[in-house]
Amino acid sequence: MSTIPVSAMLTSINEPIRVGAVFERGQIKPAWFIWQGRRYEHCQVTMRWQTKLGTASILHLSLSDGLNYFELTFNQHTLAWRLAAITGPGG
Amino acid sequence: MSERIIFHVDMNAFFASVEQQCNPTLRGKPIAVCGSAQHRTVVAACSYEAKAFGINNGMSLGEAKQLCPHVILVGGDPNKYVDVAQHLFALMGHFTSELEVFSIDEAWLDMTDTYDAFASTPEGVAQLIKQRIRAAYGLTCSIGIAPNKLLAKVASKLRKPDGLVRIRKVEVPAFMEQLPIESLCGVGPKLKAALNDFDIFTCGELGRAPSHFLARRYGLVGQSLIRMGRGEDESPVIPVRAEVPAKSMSHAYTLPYDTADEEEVAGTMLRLSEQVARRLRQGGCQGRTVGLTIRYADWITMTHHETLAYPTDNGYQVYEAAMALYHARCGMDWQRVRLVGVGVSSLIHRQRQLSFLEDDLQRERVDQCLDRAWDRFGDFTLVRASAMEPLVSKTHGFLLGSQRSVSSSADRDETTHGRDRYQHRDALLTATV
Repeated sequence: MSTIPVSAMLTSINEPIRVGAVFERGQIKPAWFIWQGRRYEHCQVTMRWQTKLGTASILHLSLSDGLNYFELTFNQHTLAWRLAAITGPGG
Repeated sequence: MSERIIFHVDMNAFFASVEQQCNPTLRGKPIAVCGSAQHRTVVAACSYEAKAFGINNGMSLGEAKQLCPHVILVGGDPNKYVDVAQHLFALMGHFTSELEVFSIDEAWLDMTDTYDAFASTPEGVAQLIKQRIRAAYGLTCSIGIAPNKLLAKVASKLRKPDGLVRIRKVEVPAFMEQLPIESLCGVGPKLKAALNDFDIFTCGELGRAPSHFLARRYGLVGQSLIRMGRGEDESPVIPVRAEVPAKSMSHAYTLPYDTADEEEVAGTMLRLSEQVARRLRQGGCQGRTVGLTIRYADWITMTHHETLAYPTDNGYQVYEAAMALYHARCGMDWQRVRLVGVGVSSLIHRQRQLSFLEDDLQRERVDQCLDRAWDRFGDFTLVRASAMEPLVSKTHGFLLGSQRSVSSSADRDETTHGRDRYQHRDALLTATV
C-alpha cells in the first residue's frame, strides 16, 4: 500500500491545559495558556467553531501567534480546556 | 410581474479558505485539503494558489504532488466546515428568509422583496453580504445576481474569487448566445458530449434546437434543456422550512487499502449500516429498501438493492440485508474491494409496531441503549467490536471509546460460511447489553 502522508501540519496533542480567558462581547477569548510548563500569550483567535460530543458542546478555537498555530477546545459542560493540536513554524 | 432578484452565493475554495483563515502561516500558499494521513484520499478542495499549478478538486494526492511538489496537504475537518457554513447561512438569513442551501458552500437567496430594505440596488446588498462574511470569518465569496436560480449560479461562476456579477433580464438573450452549454448547472461531460454530437455547443444553439428533436431523445428533459438554453428557469428558492423530506439515506467509505478480506468488508458494512440507521432514527424514519454499493480495485462499481418485508431503522437488520446482497451478488473472493456504501430508501415516517418476537424486542432495546449512550457521550462512542475502525477482528463485544468493555463471551464460529459466519455479531449484542 502506498499512501502519501499528509504534510506535517497538525500534531494531535489532546492534553488538558491551564487557560486564562476573558469574556468580551459575548465571546470567550483565551488571554494566555500554559502547556508543558510554558506560557503562551498574545495569540490571536483566528477561527471558532462548535461541535457536539453527546450532550456537551465543545467550543474549538484556532489560535495563532504568527509562527505557531494552536487548536484549543473548551468543553462547555465540564468547563475543561484542552490543547487539541499544534503546528510548528512554517506549517 | 417585476423581475425576480435571485442571488447565488458561492464561497471561494471554501475548505481551503477556512484552513488558511485558521492558520495564518498557510495564507498565500498552495494548500490542498484532503482526508486523513492514513487513508487513501483525494483533494477535497484546494486554494487558489494550488489551482494556479493545475490542481483540482477530486485529483489524487499523487497527481497533486506531481503538479506542485511543495503543495501543503491539510487534513480536512468536516465538523469545522459544517459549523462555519451554518453560521454563514445564518448570516445570509438576516437578509432574507427565502434562502435555499444548495451545498455546504453555496446558497440561493430570493432578494426580490427584501433587497431595498438594505440598499438601493441588489449589487449594494451583495456588497454588504460580502463585507459581513469577510468581517466575521475573513472569507471571500462570489455572488451572482440574476432573474432566476439557473442564471444566478452561472453568474457567480463568471468571476472568481470575490466576484460580483449581475445579469439583468434584458441582457439574457445576448448573454446566452455564446455561453458554452457546460456552464449550465446540470450539463455534465456526458450530456455535453451527447449535445455536441448534435452540433449544439452554445446555449444559444440549445435554445433554438427543435423541441421535437430533443424531446425524442430526452423526453421531458429535452424540453427543460431548451428552456435552460434560453436562460429560463421558474423554479422557486426553496427555504429549509419547505424542503421535501429525504428520500434516502446512505453512507460510503473508501477503505484504506484494497482488500479481499470478507470480514474487513463486513466490518465496514456494519459500521456504515449503524450510521445510516442512527440517522434514520434521528429523523424519525424507517426504510424498506436496502442498497449496497461495492467498488472494486479496478473501479468497477456495482449497486444492488433488496426490498425488505417491512421497514426498519435497525442497523443490524440493514447490515444483514446488505451482507446478503454482498454474498448473493458481489461475493467474488478474488476481487479486492476499494469502497463500500450502504443506503436505505423507500423511507416512511417511523411507525411503532409492537412485536412479540423476542429478537425484535431485543434489537429495539439495543437501539434504545445505543441511542441513549450516543446522545450522552457522542455518536459511536460505543460501537460493536466488529465495526471498529480499523477492524478489531479478534475482539468480541462492545468497545467504549478506545477501551475494551463488557463481554467477550461469544465464540466465533470459524467453521461456517456465508451469512452464518456473521451470526456471532448478533449474539454479542445480546450477551453484552
